[in-house]
Amino acid sequence: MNLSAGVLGGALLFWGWQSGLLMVGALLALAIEGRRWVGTRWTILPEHFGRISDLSAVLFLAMAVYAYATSDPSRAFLKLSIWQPVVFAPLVVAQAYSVEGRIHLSALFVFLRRSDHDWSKLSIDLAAGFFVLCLLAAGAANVRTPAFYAAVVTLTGAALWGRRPAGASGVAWAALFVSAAALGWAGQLGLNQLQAALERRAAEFVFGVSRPEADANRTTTALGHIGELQQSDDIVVRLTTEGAPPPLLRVAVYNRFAGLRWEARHSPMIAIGRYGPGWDLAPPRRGARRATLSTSMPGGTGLLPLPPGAFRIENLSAALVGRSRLGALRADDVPPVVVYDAHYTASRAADGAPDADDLFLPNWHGASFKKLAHELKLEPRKPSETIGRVRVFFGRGFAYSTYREARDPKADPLEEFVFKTRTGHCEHFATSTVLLLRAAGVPARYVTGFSVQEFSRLENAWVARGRHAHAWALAWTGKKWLEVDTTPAGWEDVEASGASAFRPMLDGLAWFSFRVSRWWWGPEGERGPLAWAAVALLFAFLVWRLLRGATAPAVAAKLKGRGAGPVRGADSEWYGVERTLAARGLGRQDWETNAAWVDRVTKAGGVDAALLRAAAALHARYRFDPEGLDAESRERLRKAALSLISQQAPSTSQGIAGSR
Amino acid sequence: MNDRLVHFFLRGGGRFFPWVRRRFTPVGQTALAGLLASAVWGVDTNQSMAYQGFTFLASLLLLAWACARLRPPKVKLSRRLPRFATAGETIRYGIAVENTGGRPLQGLIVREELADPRPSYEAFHAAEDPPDARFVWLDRFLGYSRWRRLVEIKTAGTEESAVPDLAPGGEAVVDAGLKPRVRGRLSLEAAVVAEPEPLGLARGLTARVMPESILVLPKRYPVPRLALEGSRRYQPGGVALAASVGESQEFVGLRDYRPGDPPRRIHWRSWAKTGRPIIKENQDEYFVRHALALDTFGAPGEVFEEAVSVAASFACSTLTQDSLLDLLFVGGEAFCVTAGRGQGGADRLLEVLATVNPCSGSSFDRLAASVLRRREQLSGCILVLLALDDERRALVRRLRASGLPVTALVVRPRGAREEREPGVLSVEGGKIAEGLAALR
Repeated sequence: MNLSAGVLGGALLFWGWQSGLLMVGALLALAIEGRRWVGTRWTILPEHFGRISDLSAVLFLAMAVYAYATSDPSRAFLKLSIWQPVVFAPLVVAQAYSVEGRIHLSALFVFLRRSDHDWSKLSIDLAAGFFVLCLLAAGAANVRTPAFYAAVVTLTGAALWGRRPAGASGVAWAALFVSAAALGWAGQLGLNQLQAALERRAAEFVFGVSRPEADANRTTTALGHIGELQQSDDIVVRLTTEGAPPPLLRVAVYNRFAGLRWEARHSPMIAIGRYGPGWDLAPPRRGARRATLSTSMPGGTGLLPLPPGAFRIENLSAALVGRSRLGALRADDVPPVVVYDAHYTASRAADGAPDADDLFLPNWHGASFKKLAHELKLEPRKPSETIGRVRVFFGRGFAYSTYREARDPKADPLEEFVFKTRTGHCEHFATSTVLLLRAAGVPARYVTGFSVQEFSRLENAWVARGRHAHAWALAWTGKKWLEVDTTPAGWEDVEASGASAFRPMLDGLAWFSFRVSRWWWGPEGERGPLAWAAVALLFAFLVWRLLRGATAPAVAAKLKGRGAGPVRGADSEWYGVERTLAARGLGRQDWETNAAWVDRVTKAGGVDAALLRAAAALHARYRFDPEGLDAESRERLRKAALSLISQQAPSTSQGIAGSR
Repeated sequence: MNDRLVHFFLRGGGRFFPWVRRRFTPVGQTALAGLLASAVWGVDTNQSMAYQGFTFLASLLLLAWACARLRPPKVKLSRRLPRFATAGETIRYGIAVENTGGRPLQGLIVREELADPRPSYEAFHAAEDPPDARFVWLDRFLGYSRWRRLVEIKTAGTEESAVPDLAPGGEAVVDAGLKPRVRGRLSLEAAVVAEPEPLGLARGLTARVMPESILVLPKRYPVPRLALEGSRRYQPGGVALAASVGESQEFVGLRDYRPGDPPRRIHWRSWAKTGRPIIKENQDEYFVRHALALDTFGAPGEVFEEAVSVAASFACSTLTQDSLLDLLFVGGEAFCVTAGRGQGGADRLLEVLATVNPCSGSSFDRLAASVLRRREQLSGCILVLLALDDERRALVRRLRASGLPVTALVVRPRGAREEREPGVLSVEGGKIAEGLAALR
């Protein structure tokens, strides 16, 4: 190990502290640093290192599958990283207690083990790499305190101090190191701020390209976006229901339009109590239908997509469910994939009575939309008539497009849409509808969610993708809120035209990942026995792989025959000659070559010297000649050896008899 | 894979990695790897704290690098290089290092800089995949095996040698090692002295250009001493042609004058002693002369190199004090280099073999004609062939038919099927030593 005492142990303790696995870190540190007090070292053969390496590889794969199945891909890598010291610890511990103190490179790679080339001369010391890995794993735990930087600097300093060049000035070393630590600290502050600035810029640049997580309080529209509005093809929501699915899934409702942003004013999120297996959102209705929905919530919190008219949700694994006055439902402390049942009816659930916010018109749009409402003769009429006229207005002469050409920077994008281009996407239609209804005196709200239009045969479920994200209006009819979707029919086809050719394959992968996640995050009763059985089976397999042929006699036998591979010539009768002569007290010594022994035996007499030499030569060829012996020579060896044995047998008896 | 793309990346890597090895110590290289890993781990500064490790390591390496650049060691170097090396064998030689600066130097290392070994795209594209067990399928798929082979041809294994501590004005001779991989002329461009900076991460370098070259002799295998059955043959021109200096002739004895004896052979002192004309009698020049014919009519590659090695092995083992050995091969023209009996030793043949190249613009007939022309003077012949086709078989048969003992060997590529021909030993590339052991 090329690290100073305590450095690796310190790194492991630090990792344990940061990752919340202090006990594991302490045990590993003790196991590795304990080599300084344990004098015993073991001869660990390359094949045993290979098996330990296999163990690490299997652990790594198992954790990778687990991490990617249970987390958002962007977090899975870091989640996997946290456990890496555990994954590679078997190798490092084995290296620490091995005689060589290094690991053959071929042990780490299966293809090198299978290669015909002799890689045994290449070996590496894993200590430095493992040290770096521990620090990275500690960083992946993301405990954001200054202690992290201090610990990294201290541990790195300890590692470097032990390896500083001979004759290097301690003062110069310290001065450089402290300067680097200070520079690094300033750099990390700058880097963090740089990322924040870049993210702000990127958000401005690609807004609409990647939709941020839904927020119940505000949503920024892409009304002013220039160029093609790209939407993700990934499946966001899965829905199974008996019969036709609800055409829309509601996620959030907003009541105030400000600039290019919709906000939910006076609509705080209030926790709702749990009754039995679910949460009641409104009193139960007759003729209710049930839909099972699933969606991912990588952050452990988010807004739940629901069919309009949902009055109860059940079987949701959440610590807390909150509901806003406008009807958005938020779940906290949930697994990365949530599955829940929603009961809903066609009649509207209680979304709260309209108030002044639902009639609010921003100053810069008020005049133009009021003028338009007047031109369309929208008031004074019954709300239902007004809604009908608004539908008719947007149904004629308006077109759907996700592409928008460069516009006059001074012009308002919404007014440009309504009065000039008459081409836009669902946010244009929904926002204009809401403002026009309000201008006509009908309370209205802006709703975001998903359109349900694609049935996946693979999953046997309805799926909503990122590009199915939709916006529409809610209008108050005087008695209830009515969904008003003025976006021209056929917008789905426009969105679908940009789908990737690899989509079926990606969907297959997404489905597999979803099933694994759902299995993992599903009810404990479904998962427990299977998971533990799998872990037990894996563990048993690894133990078997590790211990197979590794019993003490087997290792000793292997060591004895090492270098000869399968021992050739082990069946030579020559060994019988050796044993026979050993019985006469002429046994071959460990340090004696065959030729030297033959000379000694010949000098001792009582043996056919010529035959003995001939047999020795044949045996040597049988044992070591790459071409071996032909059948005739083999037979000669056998006969010579048997003849020598038979010659010795009487003399040995005589000798024994004589001694009596 | 697209060869141009692969060549581009390998060429870039072939520049970057040696640069890293020169500029950074092993500890510094680990820090660089840590820097790279922390950049990956910490790419999102909100998700992981690894970015703090990144900035710290980057600062350390930056300061270390700046320190190393600012204070390179001031030294004077000279090299004491031998004339020859053998492919695959390490040679030891000295490099003298003198501290010409005003500060003591500690922890220095010195190493050789060889000429840039990176092959051109054309050479890379034309190269064949070497049959080497070191390379796995991925190496072959990516073309790395070809690249590595071409680089190894042009370079040699160099060592980093530690220099003892040097006081100002002090000098030390360092034991350096060089292991050429293939025969031919190896150029050494410069020697570089590196000194670690105080953090021990980067190295300050001082290079001294000292262009020199060394002739790398072919690799040799142990071969049994061949007892070719041929008898001594009369050599026209006698020893005069075999000896390097003078006109010494083999003296047999004295006899009485016979009419017609040339007067210059009269032994005057014996005549004076006996009173009758006495003639000095010389032995006719009969001695053993072998030919070692190397087939050069093949493509460059392992088989050709192995054939040269086999020829070199015979050149060393066959030559005795009392025999001549003619090395026959065809380069631009047909060459015959003779060694033995004062004509030069085996080293002369090895020097020639170190530079022999495959012959592409001619046919095997030229070598056959060259050997057959010398048949009368030869006691035996060793043929080292690259293939076993009709022309080569015909040569073996004609030589044997003339009563000349012939040892013929053909080198076949690795894994190639053995073509059996009576009296011709086939040896496989990569298993030459085992194949030659069968010669008894």
